Amino acid sequence: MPADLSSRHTCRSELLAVLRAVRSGSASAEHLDRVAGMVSGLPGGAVEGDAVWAVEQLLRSLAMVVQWTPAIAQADANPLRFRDAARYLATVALTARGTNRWPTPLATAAEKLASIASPDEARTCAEQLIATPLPPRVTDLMVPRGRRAPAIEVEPEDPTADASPAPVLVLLSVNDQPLQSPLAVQPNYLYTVTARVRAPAWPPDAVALHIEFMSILPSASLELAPIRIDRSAESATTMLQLRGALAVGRSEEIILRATYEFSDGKQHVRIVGIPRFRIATFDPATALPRNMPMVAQALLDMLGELDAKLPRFPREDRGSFFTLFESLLRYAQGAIHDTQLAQRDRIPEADFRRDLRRHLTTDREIGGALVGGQQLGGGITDLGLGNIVVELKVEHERTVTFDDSLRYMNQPAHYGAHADRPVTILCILDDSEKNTPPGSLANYIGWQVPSLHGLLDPRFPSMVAVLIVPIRFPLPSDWSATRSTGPTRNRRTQRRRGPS
Amino acid sequence: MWATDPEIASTRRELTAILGGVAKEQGSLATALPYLYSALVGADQAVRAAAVSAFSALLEEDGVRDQLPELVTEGIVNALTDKYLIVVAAACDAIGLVDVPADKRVDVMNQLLAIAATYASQRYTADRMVSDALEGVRRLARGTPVESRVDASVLRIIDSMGSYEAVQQLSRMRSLATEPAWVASVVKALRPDSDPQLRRLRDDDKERLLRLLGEQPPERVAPHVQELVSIALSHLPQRAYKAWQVGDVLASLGYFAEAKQIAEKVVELTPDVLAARPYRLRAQQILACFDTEAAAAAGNETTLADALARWESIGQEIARDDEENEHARRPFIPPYLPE
Repeated sequence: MPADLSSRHTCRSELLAVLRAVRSGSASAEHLDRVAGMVSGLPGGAVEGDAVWAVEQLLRSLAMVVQWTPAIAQADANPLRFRDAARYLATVALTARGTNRWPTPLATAAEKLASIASPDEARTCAEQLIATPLPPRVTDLMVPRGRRAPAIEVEPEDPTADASPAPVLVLLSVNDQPLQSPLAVQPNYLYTVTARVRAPAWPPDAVALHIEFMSILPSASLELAPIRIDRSAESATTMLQLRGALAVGRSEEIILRATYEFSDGKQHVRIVGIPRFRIATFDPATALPRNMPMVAQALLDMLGELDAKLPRFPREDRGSFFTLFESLLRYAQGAIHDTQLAQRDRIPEADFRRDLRRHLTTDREIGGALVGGQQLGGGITDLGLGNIVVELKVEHERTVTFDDSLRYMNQPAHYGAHADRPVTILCILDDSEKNTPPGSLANYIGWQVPSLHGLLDPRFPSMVAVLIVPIRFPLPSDWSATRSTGPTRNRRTQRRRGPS
Repeated sequence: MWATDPEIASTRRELTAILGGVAKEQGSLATALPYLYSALVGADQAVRAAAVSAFSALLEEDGVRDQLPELVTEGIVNALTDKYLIVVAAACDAIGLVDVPADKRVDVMNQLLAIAATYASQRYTADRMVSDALEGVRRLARGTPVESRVDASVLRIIDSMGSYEAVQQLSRMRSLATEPAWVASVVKALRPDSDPQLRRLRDDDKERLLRLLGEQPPERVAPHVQELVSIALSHLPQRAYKAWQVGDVLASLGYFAEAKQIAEKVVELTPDVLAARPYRLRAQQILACFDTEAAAAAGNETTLADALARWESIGQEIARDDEENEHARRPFIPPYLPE
């Protein structure tokens, strides 16, 4: 719907009224200035050289002219100052005109005011301005995109004035490693935090730069002393210690504040680089999944990556993802080392889904909230919790590496797009024959970010949490029976061949 | 591999493309050139096209361009007359990068204009090639005595395109605006495309052209004012905003009567019913605004005051309508917020 033009009507009516008043010799400078202010609010009124801007300038010029005669009458020592001011303002407008197209009466009025010789000439100028159409600009198509004109009241900038200093670049590292947010720390450990600072130009009188860390955590819980960097130095260190664990999955924000220290005071300065970061706790003894410290650390890293890439991902969905993935990790840890599974023949996907469903429904955090078989994007999902979808795959013939998961991830990403929850889980059961022992489960998890149609660098990327569950490993003692390539007895091979 | 059976063209084509990449590397050009040049005059059209594309990529490399022999320029110029479209298209893409000798320049320009004129009206056939040919010919003509004639020919070729393609070309070649026929070409390009599926595309380009039209001297646009009104009306009733944009251009050029025609049509097409009344009242307000400025431009103060009075009464009606009917228009939103 087009905008309501009532305010424009008010401006137009006032403009006509004040110009009529100038013509009749009854206008006041205040009225002219007020209408000039209204005109400057019209589209184009703030763009130097535009016709609307020029009308505003000429109204201000007329405001000077109407003070000329009273100044003479009041025996002003220098009444010509009003004439000169009027000429100056009109000349500025004419100079700024450039290639802008002005209605002919507007150009005539400007030229007349630029060389005004008598107060009576204001009447002719007002006549010309009455006959000047203002470009209506119902849409923004013809609103000029030129540089904005400075307000006429603005004093020239004083180079010696107290200007805010240029922002400083602050980079933080923890124990000589670049800081990654969220920073996972172990409670009661001491960490060295180093701040490196680059300032384009220090204020001449600045003695030092202080960096403070602000957080809602009480100082009894978080020790992170401010850093003072001398003028001659570029870096300084402090110690960080968190005395206690934060809740699982919770992180707290720490905001940096920089202040220049002068001999007679202080001045804040804006920070670029790392102006804030989040802190989370990681305690191998209490982290989830329980008693799997490497996996728990990897899961924490994944959550950090999720928070960085999708900072506005709904908290409840993030919670569902954590609960579901953590439970899947526990299942995977059990399945990898389950020698009974190795006894079975090919495990079809339906069996895998049934087995996994049994595990998840007996998980007290999930239970009956587990869903499956939803219609999304024209397909049917395997399992899910809340809005988080789990896609299951079984690979029988070839070893699944993390990069191999690329060929499966488009399906869960598609589901996620339909649910408008760009985070999904892909769980692949690696049912192939094994010739080498498994690594820590932490190696088999991570994010994959699929390419999305028509997007090179999407603002809301789809993220697929990949979990590979390699099963069918022989007994650990079987490895000792081989020299280099693998165990001599692979249970499935043996089973296929039959008893010897 | 290069000496492989020449019948296996696909291998040679792939190798040519690879060689083009290799030749960019320091010290590899001399080794790659003989192979690339033999591909340029090869028997298979796909291999020739790959060679032209490879040279085109090399010509874009600052350090390599000066090391290429004149034979390459000759080969690319000759490729313009190849009987296969794939080779001609690659040559059109490359021609803007080569320094065509002065004695061949007119021939090449004629050739490029002929290529563009032949395929300009064939939608979806070789749009990119036509675009490359037009850009190439303008680049060759720049600063020469024939520049204006070439630009006029380019405009004629653009006139033979569909609106969708013409808008794209005119928006890209804004320096054509100095040509006398430019306004007519733009107005023609702004007409609705013959393919309804393409009509709502390239809105940004159309707006850019409309803005440029609005910056022209009014007398230059005068012969096409009624056609612009027709174009505005063609957007109604669904896309009133596009019609208002044309109205804005006309008003900024001082053609208030024509701008009013558009506003009157919007008012006429907007039914005076509860749901549409705000649109109708605002359209009437715009009509009064155009009337006001028209009266100002005519220097008629009485009409100006009348138009302002009408404008004011419409504003009051809008306020009254909003107050009385807001709840009726949005029945599911309570008229008050709980404290």
